[in-house]
Amino acid sequence: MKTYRIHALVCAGTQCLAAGGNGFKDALVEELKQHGLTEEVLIVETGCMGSCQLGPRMVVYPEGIMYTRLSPEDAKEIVEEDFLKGRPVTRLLWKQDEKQFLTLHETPFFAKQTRIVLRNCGFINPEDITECIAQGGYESLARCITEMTPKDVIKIIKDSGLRGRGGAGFPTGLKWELANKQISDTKYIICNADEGDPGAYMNRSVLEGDPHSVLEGMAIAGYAVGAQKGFIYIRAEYPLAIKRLEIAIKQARMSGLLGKGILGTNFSFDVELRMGAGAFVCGEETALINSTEGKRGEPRKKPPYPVESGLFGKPTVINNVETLANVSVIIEKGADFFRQFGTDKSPGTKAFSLVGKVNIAGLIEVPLGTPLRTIVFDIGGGIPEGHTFKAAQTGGPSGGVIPAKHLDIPMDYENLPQLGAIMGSGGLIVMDETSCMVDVAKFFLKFTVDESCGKCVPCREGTRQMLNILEKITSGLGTMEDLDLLEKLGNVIKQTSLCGLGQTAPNPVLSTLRHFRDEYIAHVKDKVCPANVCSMKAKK
Amino acid sequence: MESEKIPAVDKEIRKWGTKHESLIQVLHGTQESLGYLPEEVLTYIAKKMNVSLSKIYGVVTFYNFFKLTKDAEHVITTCLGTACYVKGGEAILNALCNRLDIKPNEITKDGRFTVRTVRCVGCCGFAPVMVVDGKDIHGKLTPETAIDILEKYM
Amino acid sequence: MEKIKSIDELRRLKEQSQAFLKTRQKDVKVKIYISVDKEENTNASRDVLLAVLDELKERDFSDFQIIEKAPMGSDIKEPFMALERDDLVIYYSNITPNMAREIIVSHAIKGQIVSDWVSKRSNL
Ligand SMILES: Cc1cc2nc3c(=O)[nH]c(=O)nc-3n(C[C@H](O)[C@H](O)[C@H](O)COP(=O)(O)O)c2cc1C
Ligand code: FES
Repeated sequence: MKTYRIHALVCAGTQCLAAGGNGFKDALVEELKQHGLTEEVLIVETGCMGSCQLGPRMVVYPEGIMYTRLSPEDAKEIVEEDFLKGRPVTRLLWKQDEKQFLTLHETPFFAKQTRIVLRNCGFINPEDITECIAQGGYESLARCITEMTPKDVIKIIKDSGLRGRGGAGFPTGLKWELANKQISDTKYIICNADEGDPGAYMNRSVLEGDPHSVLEGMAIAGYAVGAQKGFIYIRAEYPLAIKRLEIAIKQARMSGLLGKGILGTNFSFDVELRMGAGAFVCGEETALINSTEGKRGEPRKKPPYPVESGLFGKPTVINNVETLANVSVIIEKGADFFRQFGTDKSPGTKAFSLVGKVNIAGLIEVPLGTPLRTIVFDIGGGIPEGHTFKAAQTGGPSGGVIPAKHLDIPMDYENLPQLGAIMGSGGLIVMDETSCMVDVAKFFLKFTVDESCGKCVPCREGTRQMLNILEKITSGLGTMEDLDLLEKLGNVIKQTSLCGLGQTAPNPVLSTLRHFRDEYIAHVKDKVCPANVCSMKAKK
Repeated sequence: MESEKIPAVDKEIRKWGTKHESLIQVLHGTQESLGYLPEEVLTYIAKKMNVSLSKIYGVVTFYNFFKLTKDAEHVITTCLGTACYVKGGEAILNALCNRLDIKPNEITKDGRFTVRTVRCVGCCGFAPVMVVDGKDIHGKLTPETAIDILEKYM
Repeated sequence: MEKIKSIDELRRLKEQSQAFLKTRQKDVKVKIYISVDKEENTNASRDVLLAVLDELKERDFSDFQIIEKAPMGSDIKEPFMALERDDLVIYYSNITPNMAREIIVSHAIKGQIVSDWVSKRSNL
């Protein structure tokens, strides 16, 4: 076997490529040629390594030295100093608070993280199935189909307490059990990779960095519920993730890990991709089913639930990317291992995309129940340029804000709803005092007004009315009655909408009203926008 | 229908089949090769796949991704997802529109440019972000750097 | 890419592929430190490095990592090489490519320290 003394892992996630990662890689390839090192140094293009803001990034093994913010001009120095002489190029290391860090593991960004879902992201070449197999990939699937019954599999997942990471937190084991009990010759597994929350890219990173973990999770789900076919419904906005998935599916088929009679057993399972076409509501499971059937992505009435009658009227399990990426680890290491992390009711970890006004924006993974403060200040390095933390937004257009007063809130499925926020899929947007909370509410409402599919009246008309009121307030024409009206209207929409989109659409308004009522009142009574964002045409 | 468009459609139909569930994938592929979905192409797809034209219109107009008219030569998409919004995405949008003297979604008179908005391209760590022609992603923009990038295409 | 036909085949493939990933792993059997730092010795050290790589390849041994090292101080003559194996670090100084080959064969692969050339030893 060919071995290389140095493995240079260059991040080839969408963000690092966007920041010029390709230019750096090409320059590195050229320098290696020039110095005759092509036989000694292997360049590996990986998925996202996490600290996206410091990209393009590279980690050099065996020592794991991490270089940040690379440009093509840096390639020569790295080759001559590090690769040839073993001297790290200190000017390219991670620097923070006047300290510099040689490896990722030493950084405060990494220290408080636990990586289960992202275990392979940034560490393996996602376009090479053997690297995934080296890391134990597909061994859980192999064990399931050779040593365990579907009931055994469901039991482990139930015992682990894994909850759906797509937003609602529904227990995954229970969902599988319900589907398993359905009597039908055909059942389906759908992986929800629509990731509609604007400001969230955890799913994209997993698909780009470790696509096999999702395929394996789907196949295990298929075995557990008795399905032979899976679909991945993925946003068309994610071309790189689509490409990596296509490669992964092809390699898995060629290796006999997908397809007919997997590993010589009589279990067959195959996966196909379906591209979405830019409609937020298609992330909702019944709308997603319609879209997968080639129709307009309008939601269906529930019940019947997808596990009873889903895709083409057959029992269907829909799980989020991150949910599925957890599965093989739980099978491999057991329910107790999984329960070591997180809280009793919310076991395991959660990936977040930590973005907005934070020093180190990026993709992170922490045990559920980790305080917001730890995430923003220890991992994210706090708020840049001397600004102060004002609020964090979770759950996207269905979620709410967490004000500074509640920075110590444990981030889990139980605590967030108490503040009127939700866990959502993992978008975590940090805002400082320059953000106006009324404007934030308006921003999200605009989003839902655009994205409401129009099928039901409360969502289509109600959100429009709420937006009108917010526009009135942000231009200085609001009245105190408007605030009450917003609340009333919001509650009606929540109760009467057909699907989750409408049922949660008022949340951003209701939660900002709850935590930042003063700011609304300033707009209404004093006709000023304290953050100086709204134009407030009608001055007092 | 103009013959030169047929092969693109036929290729997609061969790939995906004529089952109704393939409609969206066929539309995707067709738009990818033709740039948009002209009416005569939709009529052709309707006939080939045995779906009513109104149903196809229903689908095409439901999804933001599909376009019924020819696009500008360069499509600039500014992100107005939450992360980009918080980091000033709107200022980027306005700067680009001002420079081109168009409103969002309009096409410049010479047909060369249009500016659109998108909700997150998944590069939130680099907010604010814009994408040129669906592939070149530029991040950490200021209105000035955004204009600089635009001018490279002018 | 061939079809994997059983769980045992999958496990075999896993082991083989792990060998390829050794450079990235935390745990390896042998860590080989080679000095490369001093300008005037760069060539001499590089020759040692190349000899080491060649010998490892020849013997089809992959459970190793090579780490380039700065000079160890005046007591150790360049080029030096140190081997970390079985919780013990052994330093060999003033070595030539041929000595390096022998150290690889007997110490790295077989676990027998080449005592004649040892200049220093320490526990981990
Ligand atoms: C408007 C709306 C949008 C949604 N978008 C997504 C999404 O982008 N990704 C996702 O996994 N789930 C999304 N969901 C949740 C899904 O309906 C569904 O609950 C989830 O995919 C189930 O998978 P899980 O149990 O693994 O979380 C959305 C729900 C609603 C109401
Ligand atoms: S919010 Fe703009 S890239 Fe995600």
